Amino acid sequence: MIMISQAIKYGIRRSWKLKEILLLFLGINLSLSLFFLLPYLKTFSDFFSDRLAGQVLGKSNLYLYYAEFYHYMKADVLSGKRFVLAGAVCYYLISLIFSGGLLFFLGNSRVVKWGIFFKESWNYLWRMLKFALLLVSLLFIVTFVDLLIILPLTNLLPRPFVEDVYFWFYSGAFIFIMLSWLLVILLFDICRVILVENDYRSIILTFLESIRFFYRHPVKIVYLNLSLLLLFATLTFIFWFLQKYIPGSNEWGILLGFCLLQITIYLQYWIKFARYGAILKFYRILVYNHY
Amino acid sequence: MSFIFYIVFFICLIFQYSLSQIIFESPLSKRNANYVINARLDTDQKVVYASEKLQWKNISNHPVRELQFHLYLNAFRNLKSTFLSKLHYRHRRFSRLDSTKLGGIDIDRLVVDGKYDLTSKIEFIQPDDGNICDSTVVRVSLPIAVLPSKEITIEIGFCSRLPRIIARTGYVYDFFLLGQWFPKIGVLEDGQWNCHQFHINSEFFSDFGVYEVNMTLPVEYIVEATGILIDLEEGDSLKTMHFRAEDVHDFALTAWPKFKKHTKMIEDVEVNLLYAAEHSGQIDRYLQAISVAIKYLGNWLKPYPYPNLTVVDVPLFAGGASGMEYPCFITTLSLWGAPSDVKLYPEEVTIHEYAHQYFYGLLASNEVEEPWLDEGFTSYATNKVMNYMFGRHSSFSTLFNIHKGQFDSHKNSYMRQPTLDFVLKPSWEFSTGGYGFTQYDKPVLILQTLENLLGEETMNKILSTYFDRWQFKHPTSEDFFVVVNEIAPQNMDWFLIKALQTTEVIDYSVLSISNEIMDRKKYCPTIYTSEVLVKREGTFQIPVEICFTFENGDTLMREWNGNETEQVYTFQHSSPLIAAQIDPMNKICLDLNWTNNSKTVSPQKGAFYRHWLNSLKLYQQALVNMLTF
Repeated sequence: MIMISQAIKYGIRRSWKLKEILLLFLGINLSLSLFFLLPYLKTFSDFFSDRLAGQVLGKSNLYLYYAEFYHYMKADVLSGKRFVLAGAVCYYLISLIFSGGLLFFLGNSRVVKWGIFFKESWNYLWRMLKFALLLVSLLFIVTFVDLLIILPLTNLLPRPFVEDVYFWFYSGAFIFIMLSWLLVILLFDICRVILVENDYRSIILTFLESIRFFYRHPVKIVYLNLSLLLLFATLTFIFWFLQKYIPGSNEWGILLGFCLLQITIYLQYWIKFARYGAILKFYRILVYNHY
Repeated sequence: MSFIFYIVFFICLIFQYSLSQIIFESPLSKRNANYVINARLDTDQKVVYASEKLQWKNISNHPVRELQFHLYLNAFRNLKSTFLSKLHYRHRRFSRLDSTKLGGIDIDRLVVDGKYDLTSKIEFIQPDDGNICDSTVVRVSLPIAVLPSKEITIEIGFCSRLPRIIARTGYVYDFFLLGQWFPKIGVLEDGQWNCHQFHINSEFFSDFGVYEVNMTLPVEYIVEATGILIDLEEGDSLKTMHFRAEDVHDFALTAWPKFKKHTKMIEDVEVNLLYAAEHSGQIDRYLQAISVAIKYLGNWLKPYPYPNLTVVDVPLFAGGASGMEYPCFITTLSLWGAPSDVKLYPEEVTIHEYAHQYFYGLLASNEVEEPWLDEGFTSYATNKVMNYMFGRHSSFSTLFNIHKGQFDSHKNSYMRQPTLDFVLKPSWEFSTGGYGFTQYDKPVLILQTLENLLGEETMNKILSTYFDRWQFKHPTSEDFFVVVNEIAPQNMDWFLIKALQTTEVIDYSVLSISNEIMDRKKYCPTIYTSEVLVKREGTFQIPVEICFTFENGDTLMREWNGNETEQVYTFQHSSPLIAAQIDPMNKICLDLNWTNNSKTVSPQKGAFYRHWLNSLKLYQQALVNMLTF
């Protein structure tokens, strides 16, 4: 318990100090969002900007006007949505590129220097990309294995179909698949932390090391991650709760909503990075006895 | 003395017993097709063994030399039937049938007036498409003609093999819905039989009468049916239930051992709700929906005349049986844990099927030849009840704080394929997709536009007159038009004919607004010349109102006949024009695009800002939560 709280404390403190990197990620997130949402939002603006329907929609969400928009601007909306998806891929790649630099600074107490950040990012780039591929492959394999376990169990379900029984069964199956995905993602996160910590050249070696680490301390690792996940979820919940009370029909309300969103995103990155910091510290404590 | 007493007592007993079986004091309809059916449902074999005694009266002015019957279940006898041959894909929840799950009716005996055995003279006919593989209609030539006002008795022995649920009839496991399961006589119109084959899009048309049905089946089955239960005889393993229904034109029955039952009196109607155990959490939603529907439609059209109504919440494994109307009997659907933000199940389906009791049940228009008279009017009535219950913009769903009304749902469907087909067309001529949109969605918009043009009071008067005049009499579209033109202050054929018989569309838009300051030297204070260009984008011309709003708050209304392709409006006013809106009250529901009905001089940023922030929230959060950093 003490080890876990020490690790969390380390992660939270260390990631809070990496303000430059937090701002970098926030900046990337915001600029990509603004850029890749632009065609879709322009289409929306073109359709409603000089129509009274725009006034109505400013006050409440009436389905019919949205339906007209999606129907009459179908082609533009579709291309806008494709652009939005491209933005997500772009963000994924950029975050992969910078993950080496971030983990490097999480692992020591240096002040952030951009030269070192980019150098370390480059240093780990190819290994991080290989991990990304490994992650995708593992997710497929795990899903396949999950289905092999779940599908024979469907024979135990009552015939004919009874909704609540089936609902709980398939919800359970879904949660089971999601948990196994989370486990794979967690292993992947541990991999990246171990990779930077030990500067391993081989991703297989790193992967095996992370499995060994997880195998030895499964409960503690899950507990650590759940604690920070809970913090993240609470933060997100507070945001969605607060934003309900911000008037969305005037400029000030929009500005306030925007600021609250950016603060929340910043804090969310903080907690996310804190988790990596905590895993790193935890690894050091358990493997190297480095308190 | 005691002998006379016993005789009188005995006569009274018989009299009282016969009285107890009469639902209405006097017939509501002509009752020219009366059925007595003795049937046994073999729940293992999925077969109904039955004999039917039909008393049929010739209410036309012509002698009749042949009889025609519907054998609807024969639509599922072979894969080449007119119905199944067109079942190329899933449609209205009809799953494809394999050859082991087919059904059909076999007649083994047909005797007229107890003396003419015409079994060998039964002949399959295909009046609509000549498909010899279709056996949904039979003809029997009579040895002697049935003269006008004369009655004959036809005894039919038959066996109905039930298909796996299709077109809202059949079985799934131990669940049964018996619909269209017995030989049903066609409707004689002007000496000609109106007896169409069973098509994929067609529903039913038949005469009113009294139905007495004795159904024998295993005791463990929970059963409800059209009409009221008169008698129940229970043995060790079997029970016989005697149902009676008066002034109805069909008889349906459902049976399932696992049904739960809830009964409630609503406005003198005994509502029997049969439901699956897992839907017990939805009982209140069902009862509220049916209660509002009974009260609303009772006030709006006329009170529901029958003493009872059976509402069958079909278990989801037999979902293909849901969403169907039979006299005094509807099947509907709910979902376990369905959120109350979405009103499709059970509210909308329940109210829709109940509203059928008026248009399918009481008016009993020909659903095969003019389906819009049932489905269209029923959807319009559903729209009314749902709006009354949940509000105009929330009557379909309020999920994710997006407000969707029933009307919006219909308009959305119409908007997507407005020229696909027109409304007034026999059901079998529609493409599968066209049927739904032309018979459900477009008629709602047409009737709502008609109401908006004439006013709610006039429309209510039209509908009450239509009902008073035509209940139990099979009205046609023409009969409705006559009533409309009789009550409306002007002849409405120009609208109804175009809306129902063409695919022409209505779409008006404001193209531009401009303001110019007039010569300052001449005019003091400043006078503005404002010009508005409006356009008719569609070919359907309809008069519309246009509202012009000036910066100082003044508004002007103008009426445009809507005939010209473009029209320019010019104003001289002390204030510049800031907005113009065609049809500001959204009366023309058939207008394809309401957004382009208006234009403003200054940009309306409210919607953009909200949408921008909402999109940003979702997108930024999604990026934060991606698999990696």
